[in-house]
Amino acid sequence: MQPKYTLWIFSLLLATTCSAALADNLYLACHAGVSLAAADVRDMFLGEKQFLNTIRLVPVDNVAAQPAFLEKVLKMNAIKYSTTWAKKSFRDGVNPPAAMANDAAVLDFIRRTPGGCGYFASEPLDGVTVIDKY
Amino acid sequence: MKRTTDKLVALQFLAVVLPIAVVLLVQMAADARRAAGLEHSRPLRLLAYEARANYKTFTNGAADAVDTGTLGAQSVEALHTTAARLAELAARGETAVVGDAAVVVRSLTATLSKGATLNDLMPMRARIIEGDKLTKAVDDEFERQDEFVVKDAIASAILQKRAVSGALVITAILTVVFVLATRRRIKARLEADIAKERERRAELETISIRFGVATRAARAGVYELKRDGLDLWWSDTMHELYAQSPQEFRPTMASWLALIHPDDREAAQSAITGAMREQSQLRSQYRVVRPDGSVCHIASLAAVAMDSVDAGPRLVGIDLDITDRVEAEERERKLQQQLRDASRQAGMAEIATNVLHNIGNVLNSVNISASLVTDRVKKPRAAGLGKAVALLQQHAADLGAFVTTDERGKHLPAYLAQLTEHLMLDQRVALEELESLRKSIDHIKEIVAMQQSYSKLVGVPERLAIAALIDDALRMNIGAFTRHGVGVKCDFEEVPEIVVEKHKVLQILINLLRNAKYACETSGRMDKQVVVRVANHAQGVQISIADNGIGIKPEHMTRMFTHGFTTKKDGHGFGLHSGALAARDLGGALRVDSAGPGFGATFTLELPLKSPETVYG
Repeated sequence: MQPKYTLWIFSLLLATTCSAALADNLYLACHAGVSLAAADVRDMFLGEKQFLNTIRLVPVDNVAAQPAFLEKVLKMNAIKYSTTWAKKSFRDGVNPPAAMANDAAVLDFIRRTPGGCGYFASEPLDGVTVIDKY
Repeated sequence: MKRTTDKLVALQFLAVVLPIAVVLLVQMAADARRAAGLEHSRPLRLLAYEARANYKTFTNGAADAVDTGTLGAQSVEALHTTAARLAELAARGETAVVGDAAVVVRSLTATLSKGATLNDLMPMRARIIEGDKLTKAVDDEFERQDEFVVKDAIASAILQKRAVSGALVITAILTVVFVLATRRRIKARLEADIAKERERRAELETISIRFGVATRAARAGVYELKRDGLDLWWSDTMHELYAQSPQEFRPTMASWLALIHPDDREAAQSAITGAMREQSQLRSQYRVVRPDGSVCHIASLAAVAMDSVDAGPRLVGIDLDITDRVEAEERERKLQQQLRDASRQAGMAEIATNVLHNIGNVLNSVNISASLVTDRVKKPRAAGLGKAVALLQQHAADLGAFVTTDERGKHLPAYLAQLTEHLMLDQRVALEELESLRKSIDHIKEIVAMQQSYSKLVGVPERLAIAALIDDALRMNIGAFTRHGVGVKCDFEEVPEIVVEKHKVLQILINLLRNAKYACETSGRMDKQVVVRVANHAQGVQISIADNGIGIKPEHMTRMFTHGFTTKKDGHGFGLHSGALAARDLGGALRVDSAGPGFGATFTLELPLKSPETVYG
């Protein structure tokens, strides 16, 4: 592995660890009307499930809550998450979830984007559908 | 019927062939169109597929590079292959489809090379993903196009299959329809043929029965002779005709000839062999001696039939029992001979009657003339002359004084003169009667000669004046007319002389005058009169003798000239009959007119200017 990527992965791992330590709760919510099963959340974020019925699912990462999410939901570290998506994007031509800075950015995106899904460190406001709470 | 069936079969053939031919042509055109479409789309799809597959090899290699850290040579080569395939697609005119993909892939090939690291790849991830989408889109597009062509081909094939099925169904329906129609017609024809055959057989049977009945009734036998007389067939009636049992008698040429009368056998055999040899009709007659000894007369009629060259000629004929006919002919011959004899005798009697009648007529005149002459001779004129001569002898000495002084002597010269006058009158009358007598005798002689000439059918026509002939006839009858107070009036036109047999005409006229005198005499009227007229006629002259006598009943008019018919008490019915025959012989005619009883009658004799020569040979 290249040193540049090692550093990037290490930083991401650190941030995740720190965030997880800080966050007590984690909420996963989607655009209003998207009734995603909690069991499909992992597949959606690893690019395995891209559609719910006719709705294209658009997951986004919340940089602030990502360490907790990777730990609680995907059960993997940031490096694994990154390499998985690197392979996935090369092999299947699928882009990894866009990275949003915080809950507000994620909430704004989900509200605007049909099929949009994201996770929050705090309970999101109205206008989205909470899928699960971790 | 056969022609209709042939037409139906032809139509049936067309009904089967035409739909199939049309469908085959359409199928061939569709196949060609599908083949052309597939030939175009399939290579493009293969190129797109290869481009896509190689790109996926490349992306898999890129994914593997996440673990290995470097991009493998195979992946790079796959990327170049992708670029090459896309370039080839673009070269085939598919730039619109492959343009963006080709650009992206070409840019990747320019950046990435063998041994490229993950650090080289990651910055290119977006472009790689874009290339993945674009190459997939290219592959999908050509797959879609190819599928469209394939689906079109499949749809066309299905349509074609339906068309074939439809054509086959139509063909089957038409076949069934035509088969049913043909079958019905053939069935009808067969039924008609069978019915006709039955009728023909029934008719044949009827004909056979009729033929059998007819031949049996006609006592006719049928035979057929084949193979130059070696093979002979007889019908049952033939056996009956020859009185031979069909079970015992086997007809052969030899056995047949053995049944024929020996005197006729050779002629019969000759007739048969001749007909067979010359293939001509056979007509022969012979006698057959039956087992009981009776003789049967057979008439054989046959003809040669030639069915085929191989079979040879056949003599098919019929034998008729003509015994009755032959015997009848024999009886008829004898009867005719008897009739001829009787006719000859009757003719002789008729001739004798005719002669006697005509001579009788003339003999009347002869008797009258002879009576007149006798009367004249019997008159005492010679006695007076003798007395005068005696007186003169007594007074021979004083003859002068006696004549001048004696009272008787003075009357003697006047007496002698008167006596001389009477004697001369007697002489003249006697001479006239003698002349009439001579003519009558001459006529009798002619009658006899004429009757003799009848037998020879010759006569002596001569040119004569009708008026003179009528005068002769009147003179021969004048005595009778005078005695019975019948006046005679003549009314003669100027007519030419005619050439005719004199005594035949004279005979007719005498007969007619005598009949007229009789009719007047029988009527009892005072003004008895006969008018004799001579006039020109279209083809000659006509002589009519009209009387005002008793006339003729209408019902007798048609019988007047019939032999034996007469209204006279002592008549024979011969005169008018012979007169009519004589007139016909002369080329003329004799007819009668009468207004009825009490109104007299008119007999008219028409004569040509010249009698037919044929009558006189």
